[in-house]
Amino acid sequence: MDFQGSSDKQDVVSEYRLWEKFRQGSEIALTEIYRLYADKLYNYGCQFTTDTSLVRDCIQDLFLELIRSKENLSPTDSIRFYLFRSLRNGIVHSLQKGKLRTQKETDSIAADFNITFFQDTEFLHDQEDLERKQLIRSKLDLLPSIQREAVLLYFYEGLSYQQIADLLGSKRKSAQSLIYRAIKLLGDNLLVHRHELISLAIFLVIPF
Amino acid sequence: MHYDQYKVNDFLEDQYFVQWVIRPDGTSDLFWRNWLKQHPDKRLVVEEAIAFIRSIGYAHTHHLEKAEYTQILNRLQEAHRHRHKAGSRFAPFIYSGIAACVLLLLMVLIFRYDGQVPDEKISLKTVSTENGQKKTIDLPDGSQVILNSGSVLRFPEEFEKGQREVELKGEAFFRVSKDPERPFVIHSGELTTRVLGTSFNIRSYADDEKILVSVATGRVRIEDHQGHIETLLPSDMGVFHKSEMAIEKLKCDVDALTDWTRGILIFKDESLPEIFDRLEKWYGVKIKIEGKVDLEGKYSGRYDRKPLDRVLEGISYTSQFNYKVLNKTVTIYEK
Repeated sequence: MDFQGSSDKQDVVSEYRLWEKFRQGSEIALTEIYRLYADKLYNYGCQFTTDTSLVRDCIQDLFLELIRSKENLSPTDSIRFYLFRSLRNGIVHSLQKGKLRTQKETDSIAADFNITFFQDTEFLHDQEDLERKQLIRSKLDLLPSIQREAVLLYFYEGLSYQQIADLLGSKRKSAQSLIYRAIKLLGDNLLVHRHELISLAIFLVIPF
Repeated sequence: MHYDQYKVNDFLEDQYFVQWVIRPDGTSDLFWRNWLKQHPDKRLVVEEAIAFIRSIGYAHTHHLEKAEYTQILNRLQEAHRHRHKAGSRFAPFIYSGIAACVLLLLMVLIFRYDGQVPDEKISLKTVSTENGQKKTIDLPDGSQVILNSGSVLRFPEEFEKGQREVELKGEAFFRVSKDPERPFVIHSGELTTRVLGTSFNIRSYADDEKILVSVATGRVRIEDHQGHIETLLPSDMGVFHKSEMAIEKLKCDVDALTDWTRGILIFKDESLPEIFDRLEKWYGVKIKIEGKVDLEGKYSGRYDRKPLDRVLEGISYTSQFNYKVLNKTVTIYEK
């Protein structure tokens, strides 16, 4: 395997068709959309709160609302973005509603969105390596949660700048600068782990 | 700045590149692989960028428990079925279809008679098939139509002097009798097909993204609402893309495409959800998915006038599901 991405090879046309089938009332399409995205939505939602039953309720409400209003939905070629946005709005709304009642918490939503930076690499770790990781981790921890969220939405979920901007309720340029700044921050440490990169390069080049 | 001047950071900032790494699709894959072949010197830079992208993930991942997953799914399916009681699926577009068709014929009449009020009422006939049904229809001019499952054909009791017009929703195979004085016109959604005397297949289901016209004999002209025209000859296929509103012309195996008229069901590299959808139409059953089932994989197969049970048996054998058939309902569940 060479340049393959993650296992879900979802192309634009099949996303569009699946959504259309759902709009036309196909239960199979509904089940398929749920199957593809329920877990991802749950993971995303749980980054906002530890209240897992709230997240589950929000997911259920989200789909129920889609079922209810499907004829009025517009076509789309990114179901992921559509669902993520609806979920985020739903969760934020629920969390804020909860706060007004208790009136104890005064700060804004303290979300998780902690990033791990060494997901796919399985190389031997020495002291130098460990220190590097700690340095990157401490830099990442200093980023506000909204920036961490943007980084994950961009580099893990694969959303576009415009989509991230829509999700966060900001402009495309702001979303872009959030990502650019994160790249600059992390990028400085990139060239340090030269061993890993060379091993990786060989690993990836050989199939060709 | 061109890609060949990009450094690692530039690739990381490029959303098209990042989306290709995370989720390659036909178009982006073709582009990037080609580009890399032409710029082997950029290989290391690209690999560094890919490694960076692949390193980023959630520090804490959460997964739905199977029971939780299924509980929500059941509630959703229940709500969905509640909203879609008994055959209301076709109701929305039949309504709009009748309006469009009558309007069309009315317009044609008005133009021909130059403003004179027509003294005859147009009487339209509608023939429709349920899922699992096929019908052969004889038209007033001697033309023959084989209507596939889940389709509707509308045509006048007597054809006009200048044109023979019908409206199709779904799929049908037409054998049009030759009449040079009267072109045969089929309206199927956004596409109009015009013929003189030929045999061809039109596939225009509401929930498909494409409308397909394939020609067996003769010559056919297709036209969309924006005035794009394509002329099709035998073994040509015209593809109208609804999302892009464009017409494409391809070569095709007409015999394979019209196998359905002979009772042959063929799957070519299709996903399970797509196959279930086609089986619903072909056999006139409802397919329900119960709980969390692995529906990955693509399947191919050929079934010559086989019952549903045999088809399901064939597919489930090499896949991860089990099934139960009760009357007109098929339940798919985990193996």
